Amino acid sequence: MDYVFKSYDLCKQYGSFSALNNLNMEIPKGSIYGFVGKNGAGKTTLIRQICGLQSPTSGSFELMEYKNDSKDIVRARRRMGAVVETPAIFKDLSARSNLIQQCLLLGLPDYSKVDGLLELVGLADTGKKKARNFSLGMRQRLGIAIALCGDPDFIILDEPTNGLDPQGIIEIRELIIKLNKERGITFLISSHILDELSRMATHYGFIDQGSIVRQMSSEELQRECCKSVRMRVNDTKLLSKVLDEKRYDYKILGPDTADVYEELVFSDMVKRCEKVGCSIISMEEHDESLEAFYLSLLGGSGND
Amino acid sequence: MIRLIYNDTRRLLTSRYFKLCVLINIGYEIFLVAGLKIVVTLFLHQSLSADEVAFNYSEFSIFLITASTLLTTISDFTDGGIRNKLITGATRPQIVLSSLFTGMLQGIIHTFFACITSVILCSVLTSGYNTYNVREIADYWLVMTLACMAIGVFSTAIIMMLGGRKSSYVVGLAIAFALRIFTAYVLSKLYPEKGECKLEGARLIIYRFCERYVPYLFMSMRPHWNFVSYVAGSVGLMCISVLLALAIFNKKELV
Repeated sequence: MDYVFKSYDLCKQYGSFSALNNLNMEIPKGSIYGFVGKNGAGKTTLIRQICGLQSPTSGSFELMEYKNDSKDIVRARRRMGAVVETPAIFKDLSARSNLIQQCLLLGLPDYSKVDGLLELVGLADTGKKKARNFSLGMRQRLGIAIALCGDPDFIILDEPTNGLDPQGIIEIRELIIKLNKERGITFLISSHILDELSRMATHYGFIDQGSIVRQMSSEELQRECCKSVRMRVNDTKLLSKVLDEKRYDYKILGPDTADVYEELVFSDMVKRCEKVGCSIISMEEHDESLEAFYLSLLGGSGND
Repeated sequence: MIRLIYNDTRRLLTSRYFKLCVLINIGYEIFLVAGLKIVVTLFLHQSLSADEVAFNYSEFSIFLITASTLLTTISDFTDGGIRNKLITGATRPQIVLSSLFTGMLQGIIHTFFACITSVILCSVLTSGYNTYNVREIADYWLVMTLACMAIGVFSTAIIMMLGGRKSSYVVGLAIAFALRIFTAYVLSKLYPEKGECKLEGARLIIYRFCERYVPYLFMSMRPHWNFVSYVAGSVGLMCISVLLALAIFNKKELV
C-alpha cells in the first residue's frame, strides 16, 4: 500500500512534557484519515510538524516519500494544503483576491481556476465582500479553497467543523467526500467529534498521550462498534465451522470468545453447536457505540 | 523568493493597518502644520517659517514605523500567513528575508508620504525656509528614508525573532521608547543646552559613534555627518537585523 505520510518513533518534547511519544502512524494514499484524540493528545503537534512549523525532538517521518530532514521536503509541502486551527486568510481581501494571492504565492500564472474553486466551495456569490465579514463557515470554506489552489495530493484539516452550524458541518463534509472521490485527494482530518468523522473517514488513527493507540479502517471500526452477539464457547474453531456453514459475519476474539454480527436464534444455535461438539457457555447481546469504543480505547476522563 | 516578496508587498498594500498608519502619518503632518499656522498667525501675528515645521517627522517616525511593522507583521502570524508560506514550500530564510524587505518598504513608503505632505504643506502654509536650502532639505529626507528603512527592518526582525507573539507589541514599542530615551540622553551629553560638551575618552568616542552610526539617533539631529556614515549606519543595522532574524527564526518553534 502507498502511504502519503509515515512516521517512525516520532517524539516532541516541550521541557518535561512529551507532546509526542514514539508516534508511529501511516496515512494510506487516497484515504480520509480521521485523526482522533482528546484535546492535548498531540494531534495539532503532529500536524505542525508535518507542516514544518515545528521539528521533532527525535524520530522521523516521511511526507510523500521525502524525509523530514531532507531539504527536498519543501517539494512535498508544495503538493499539500492545510487548514491548521484557523484558516490562513487575509481578512482585508475578498474571497477571490485571497485565492489570487495564494496563486501568486504558489507561482501559478493562471488564475482561471479561481472562479471554479469559489464555485466548488460555495463562495462564488460573495463578490467584493471582505473575508473579515465572513461567517466562520465561509472562512473555513475559503481556507479549504486556498488549500486547493495548488491542486494538492494531500490536505490536512485541523478541527474543520469547529464552531460551525449544522448546515456548515454538512457542507464541509460533503465537500471533503467529493474532493476525495473526484480528485483522489488524501485527507488528514483531526477531530474529537467521532460521529462527524464516522460519516466520512475511511481510516482512523487514535492518539492518546502522544502515541497512536490504534489504527484501523472504517470497516474494522464499524465491525467493532456494530451490534453483535458475544458468544463464549469451549472451542471457537468448532464454533467457526457452524458460523461458516450459516455464512454469518463474525470475529474470533480469543480461544473461547467470538462476536457474531447477526441476529441469532438461541435454540437453533444450540442445536447446531451440539452437532459439531461445541458447548456454549454464554451468549449475550453486545452493543458498542462509536463513543463507547472511543472511551474504551482512550479512557473517559480528562477530555479537557 | 521574488514571488514571496511580491506576495508580501501586495498583502502590505491592501492591509488596513498599513493604510491606517499612512493616514495617521499624513494626518499628523497636517494637524501639526495647520495647528502651528493657526497659533502663529492668529495669536502671535507672525508668519510661519518652514524651518519650524519641516522636520516634525523625525521623532514621530520612530514610533510610526515601529507600530506599522508591528501591526502588519504580527497580523501575518495571527492570520496564518507565515504558516501558509511554510506549507506552500517556502523556506524559513526566504520568509524572513521577504518579511524584512516588507519592513524596509514600510519605512520607505511612510517617509515618502511624510516628505510629500511636508513639502506641500510648507509650500502652501509657510513663508518658506529661512536657514535651509533645497540641498539640505533633500539630504534630510534622504537620511530619513535610510534611517526609516533600517528601523523598519530592525522592528520586523524583532517580531520574527519572537515568533510573532503578542508580546512583540510590548517588546517592539518598549525598544523604540528605550532607544528614544537613549537618543535624548546621548544628545544631551554631546550637545548640552548650557556650556560645552564635557565628555572625553572612551565615552566620547562611543557617544560620537552612536550619533554617527545608529539610525535611531539620526532622527533627532539635522544631518551633519557625511552621507557615507548614514549609509554605513543604516546598512549596518539592517545587516545585524537580518543575521539575527535568520539565526533565530530558523530554529523558532511556530504555532
